Amino acid sequence: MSKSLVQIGMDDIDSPDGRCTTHFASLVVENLKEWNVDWVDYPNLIRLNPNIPYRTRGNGAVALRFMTNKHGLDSIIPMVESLIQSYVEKNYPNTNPGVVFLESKASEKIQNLAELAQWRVVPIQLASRVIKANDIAHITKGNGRGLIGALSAVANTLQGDHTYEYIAYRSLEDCNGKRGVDPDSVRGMDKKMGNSVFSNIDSTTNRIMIEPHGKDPVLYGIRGETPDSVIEAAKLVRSKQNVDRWMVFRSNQGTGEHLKHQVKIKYLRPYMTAVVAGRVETKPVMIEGGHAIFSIQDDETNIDCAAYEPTGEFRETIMKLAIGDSINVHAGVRPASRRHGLTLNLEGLEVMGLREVVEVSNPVCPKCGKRMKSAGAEQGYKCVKCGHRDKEISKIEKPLVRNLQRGLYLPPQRAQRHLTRPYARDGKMNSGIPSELVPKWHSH
Amino acid sequence: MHYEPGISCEICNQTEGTHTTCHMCGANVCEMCKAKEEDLCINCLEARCQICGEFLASRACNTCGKLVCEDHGTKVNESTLCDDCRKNDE
Repeated sequence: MSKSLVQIGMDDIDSPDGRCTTHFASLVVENLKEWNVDWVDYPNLIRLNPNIPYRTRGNGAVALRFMTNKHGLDSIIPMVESLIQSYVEKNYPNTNPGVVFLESKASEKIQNLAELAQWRVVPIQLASRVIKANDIAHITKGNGRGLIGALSAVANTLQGDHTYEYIAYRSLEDCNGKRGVDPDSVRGMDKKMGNSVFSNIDSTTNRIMIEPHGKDPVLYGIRGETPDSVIEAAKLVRSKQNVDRWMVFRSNQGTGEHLKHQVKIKYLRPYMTAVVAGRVETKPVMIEGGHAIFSIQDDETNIDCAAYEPTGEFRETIMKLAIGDSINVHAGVRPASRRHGLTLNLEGLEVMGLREVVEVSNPVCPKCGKRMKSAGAEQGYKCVKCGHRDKEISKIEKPLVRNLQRGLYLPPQRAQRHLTRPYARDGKMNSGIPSELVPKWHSH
Repeated sequence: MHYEPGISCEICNQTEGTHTTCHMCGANVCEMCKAKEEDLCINCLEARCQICGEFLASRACNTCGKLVCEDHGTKVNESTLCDDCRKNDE
């Protein structure tokens, strides 16, 4: 019997107290064995705009793509629906799962919505309109917010740059305990695997980054450039809790996909993620709580920028900025409140041009070498030691060496977004859907 | 790529019909993407603080899921507690 393509997108199946959309996807993959499907891609883990207030954790959605027998979808939908019923945390009112099922390529309207969801906020109403206009089979609970991510995941086929993540899961019964990932094993793995994996260790604190801290089922996640590298890396990691299941995802993590748009200050909207070009307008100051604050202006208007305490040493770079420096900030737009106006939350900084900063001092007496003092307005300078007066002499301007270079500056790994392209991926670019999958890319 | 909103609706890209400027975020939106009886886009309608409605939300309460602005939600470690849940706790 001939097989046809089915795409399933899913989002918002987690809650602050546990569960996880990627874990749920691994359960669906396991169940799909019964349908004897042919996988055309690894499950895709699509990270969306990280500055959305509704997100539970990392604003990630999942897409599954496979070939199945005609009418296969008729029985797959009830299977997914019953899995959701038993999986979702019922005590948290803000879990709004959405799952979409597509039997063809995503239409232009879905693609537009998906592009928007990378860097802006998308209303539920728009997702509902797209679902209706395209007559898309779907499952939704609560207010249906999960449909936004579900549509965005199926439309983003990761044709351009992408990375991989091996996610090991613990059992749901283990979710209240400590994961106990062995830091030494992670450091050893990182050393052995070199640049084929990334974001395992925070270089300044030496803290391991692969282990989350919530009550979710993720035991650890290893990110890398190829499926083989993340699978090999995982064999080197030890943990106290057992690996209950694992799966490899192809993802837009570490690609910087959310920062494609350069936006003028006057066009910034709340929750947008954008690159904003401007000149430093006020000198950065460190305020209570350890946050570095300054403002920038473009040719028309100005806006406050903030690098918060968790961004660690990134703030030291911010503090080196001087008025007039030309910069591009990578930022999320924080909405205005009673206490502040629209603010850019910094997640990266490109120094484009450094203004010359000069130290200005009074001239030295040409007769005795002592530092002179002002003799009054338009009266030049006088020497208090020898009494020499000079109307022609002027202040000395000495250019200061700037302790900052042009280039890109990022917060330490521990404060980076999932989508941030880390230094370790400089010059790296994967492209295209893999022609074939590695033989074993999940545990079941 | 440089982004400028242009004449199309900033939410759905629609160019036809009457457009309105959202008084909360400044977006240019079409009739479909505008809240009924308010000069507000549907994004801001959904993202308004569910306690005061005056400002946009910064996060969701980890207990009840309500979206709250900075004035009506307290951050405790990585979690947010809205004023309503905090009062209930007390």
